[in-house]
Amino acid sequence: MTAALEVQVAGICQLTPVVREFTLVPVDGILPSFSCGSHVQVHIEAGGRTLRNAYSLLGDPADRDHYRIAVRLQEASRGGSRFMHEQLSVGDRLRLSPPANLFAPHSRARHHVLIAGGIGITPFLSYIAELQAKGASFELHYAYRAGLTDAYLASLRQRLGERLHGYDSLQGQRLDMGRLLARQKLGTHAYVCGPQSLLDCVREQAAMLGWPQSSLHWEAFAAPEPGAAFSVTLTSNGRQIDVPADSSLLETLEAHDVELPNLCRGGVCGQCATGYSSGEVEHRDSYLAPAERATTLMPCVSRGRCGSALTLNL
Amino acid sequence: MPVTLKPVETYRDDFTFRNSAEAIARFPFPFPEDSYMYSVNIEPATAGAPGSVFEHWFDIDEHYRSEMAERARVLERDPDRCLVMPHMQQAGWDAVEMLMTHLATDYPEWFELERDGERWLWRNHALDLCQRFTFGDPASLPCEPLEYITRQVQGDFAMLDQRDGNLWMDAGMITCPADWSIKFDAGMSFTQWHSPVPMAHQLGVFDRALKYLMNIQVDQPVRRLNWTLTVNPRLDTSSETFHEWGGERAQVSAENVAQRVHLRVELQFMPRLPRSNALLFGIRTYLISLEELASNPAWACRLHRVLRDLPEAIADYKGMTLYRQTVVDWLRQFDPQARAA
Amino acid sequence: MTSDTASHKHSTPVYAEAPSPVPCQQRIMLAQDASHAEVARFVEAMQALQQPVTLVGLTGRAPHAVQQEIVSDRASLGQRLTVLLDDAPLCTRLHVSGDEAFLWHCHALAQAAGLADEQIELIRLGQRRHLYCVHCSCLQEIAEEGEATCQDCGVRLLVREHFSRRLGAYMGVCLDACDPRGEGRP
Ligand code: HEM
Ligand code: FES
Repeated sequence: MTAALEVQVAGICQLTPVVREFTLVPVDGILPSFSCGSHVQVHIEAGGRTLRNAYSLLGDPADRDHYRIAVRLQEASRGGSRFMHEQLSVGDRLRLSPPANLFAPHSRARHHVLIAGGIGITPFLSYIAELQAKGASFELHYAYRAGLTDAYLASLRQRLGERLHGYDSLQGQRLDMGRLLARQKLGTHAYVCGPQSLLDCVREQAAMLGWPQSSLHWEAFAAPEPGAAFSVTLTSNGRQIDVPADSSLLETLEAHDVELPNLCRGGVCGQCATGYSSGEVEHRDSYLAPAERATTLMPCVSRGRCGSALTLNL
Repeated sequence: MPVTLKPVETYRDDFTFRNSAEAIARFPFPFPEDSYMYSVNIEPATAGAPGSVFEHWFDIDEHYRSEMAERARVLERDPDRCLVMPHMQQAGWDAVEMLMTHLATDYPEWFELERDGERWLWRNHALDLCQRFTFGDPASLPCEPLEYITRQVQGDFAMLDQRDGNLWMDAGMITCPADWSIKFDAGMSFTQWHSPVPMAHQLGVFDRALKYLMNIQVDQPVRRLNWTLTVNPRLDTSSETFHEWGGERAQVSAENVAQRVHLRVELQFMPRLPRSNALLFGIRTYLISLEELASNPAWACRLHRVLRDLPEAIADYKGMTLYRQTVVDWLRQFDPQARAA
Repeated sequence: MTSDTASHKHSTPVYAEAPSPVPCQQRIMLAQDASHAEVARFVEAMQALQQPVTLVGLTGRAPHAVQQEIVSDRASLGQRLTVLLDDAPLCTRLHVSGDEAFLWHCHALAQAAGLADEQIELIRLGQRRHLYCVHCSCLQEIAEEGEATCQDCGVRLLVREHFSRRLGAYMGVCLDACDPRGEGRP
């Protein structure tokens, strides 16, 4: 499952001081089509290592001659977003994994409520193209900081008019989540993308109101945070591998030619589940049930607790 | 090498269906071992050897015309074997695009596709069809888009909607199933439609398979083989017609077993439909009589061991209990170990 | 509950024993017979949750002081439900009590109106259920029996423990393919 797409950077656009948009065209042929809400993994060669960061595809899914992605410069970057911002230039080549979708609109929804925080706007750009093309009913709620994390605000205003509700934190505008959710009618589905705090807020309010779980969808923008260094031992051959502070366990294993199935690289899809028999784990995924955590971990996001050594069933 | 298509043979009544030596040579024999148990036997569908059934995404073989004639017959009597729920419209067009582009690329001697934006021209030389239509406009085709294209492609097709952490059988063209019914299963989840299968749930097979399927990416299809036995080369072994064919199981005898009993193998192929995010599930069925199969003694020997040792619950589920012993007895001659014992 | 989770490996549904005490903006109860003791028990439990309840019955009245209506037949029940759900808040819960065929008829109407499966609680009363003849697509009513003869095509059917929520029915499949209609084996 490793066939990668070869693309070339055809355009770069600085949208805000911290958000850059990249237009990617195929080196040859055409790109695979995709469904709205899809993402690709960008393989980034930085500091002698290959990082794979997941970014939403922004464009109209009907377009197949180019992809667009937008990258926010992360303060605690492991080098991925920094590389994309500071080194990548027009004409450079990149490798992408083919589109995958962990955040698709619900086929039975009669009304879609899109809730974005900052760079979390990105998956909704393809949503909006698709929902508008289908004549579907929707509204967008966009929380941002003016001049910093308000990418695409002006063009969205123009396209969406009344359907866009903006909330600028600089002006103290707040999205009243309780009210927004309480006034929704049967058949509504809500989709959230943004920082963990936004997600927590929506989930908490939805639970209080008794929202059906199947009507709430989220995509956590959890670029795995860096952590402390730790080490692992592989049960099959006794090999010991050190995981540096700025690298995920999955990336480190891959760098040592231990290939694991993986997809989201963000602790949600469940593909990379790996058993362990000893050590203290800092679980950072949203996939495993609490009971499973005693013996299983998700190496794309989870790590050994500071200094702890883990024994993996690999 | 271009495929040669045979004239129409029948999968019912006088059962004139036969495999050529080439078809036998490329038959997808499904057993990697001498025993069989349910497992998550899914693998990435990478291109196979030239001429093999794995070479292309959608395999067209010598039986093409016969199979398409059989599908038309089934639909004439029971049009509801093709079903598309309203929210699967876009998936239907995805399937049209995927099937037409692959067939035209892989079998240019039989299929041609010209695209000018949304204006498409499709030519099927094997069935002598030519259709101009507007992609995305159902009124420009003589029938439902999924029905239009799958009347021209071998194998059954289901389309699964992905939502609520499951796959839902919300569309399909199912005219040659191995004893199940699209009319009954429509609208069910992966878990629900698999509920009659014995043992596999307890083994965790379906939980793991579902997780894997939901993560299939665009252009990264996967495949698996499934198998059963069928008396006579009958393609439409649906639940709908079970009262018409089920009785044939009682007609197997030591004299006719080699000609009558067929190994039925399904090459299941699962690509993501890119625009709709639905999953396509192709079920390409291959039939081979025991007599044809025994032209490869290694296959016959292995099949002997598999059937002899098959757990009873699985044999029962596959509907072979009445005649399993007759088949095993006939196959024993190909198993040197068993003969010696 | 009607969800898959309880009856994980099966297509056959599991039914509600008591209203689940989750938060919601309103509850609607549809009763095939509103005077049934189980309906009274459910209504009482719902009232204890202090959430607004509307009861719509096909026959009978509940002995409780809830807002209740009686409709004349199944068609008007469907129409009434559609009106009630038309502008309903998302956090609406629907309870349906009656025989299995009635339950899944209402379930289909409610899903079409936008309710998610997890918002619908089904309370099964009585033994009557629907059988789908896989050979001719005819639906007929049966009780607990494991075999039946199709009213339409005459094939003798085995009642399989395989259930379709869409059809609200169990699968009936030919019991003896050597003698489909019980006319004596050839
Ligand atoms: C999403 C695509 C799939 C569809 C539409 C599908 C459909 C079906 C259906 C309709 C049946 C017959 C059930 C009955 O008796 O009524 C069946 C049987 C079965 N399926 Fe699937 N299936 C799918 C994927 C899979 C996968 C990925 C596996 C992997 C392990 C699997 C394993 C099985 C097994 C073991 C049986 C029993 C078959 C036998 O013993 O002959 N299925 N499937
Ligand atoms: S790759 Fe998806 S959970 Fe780890």
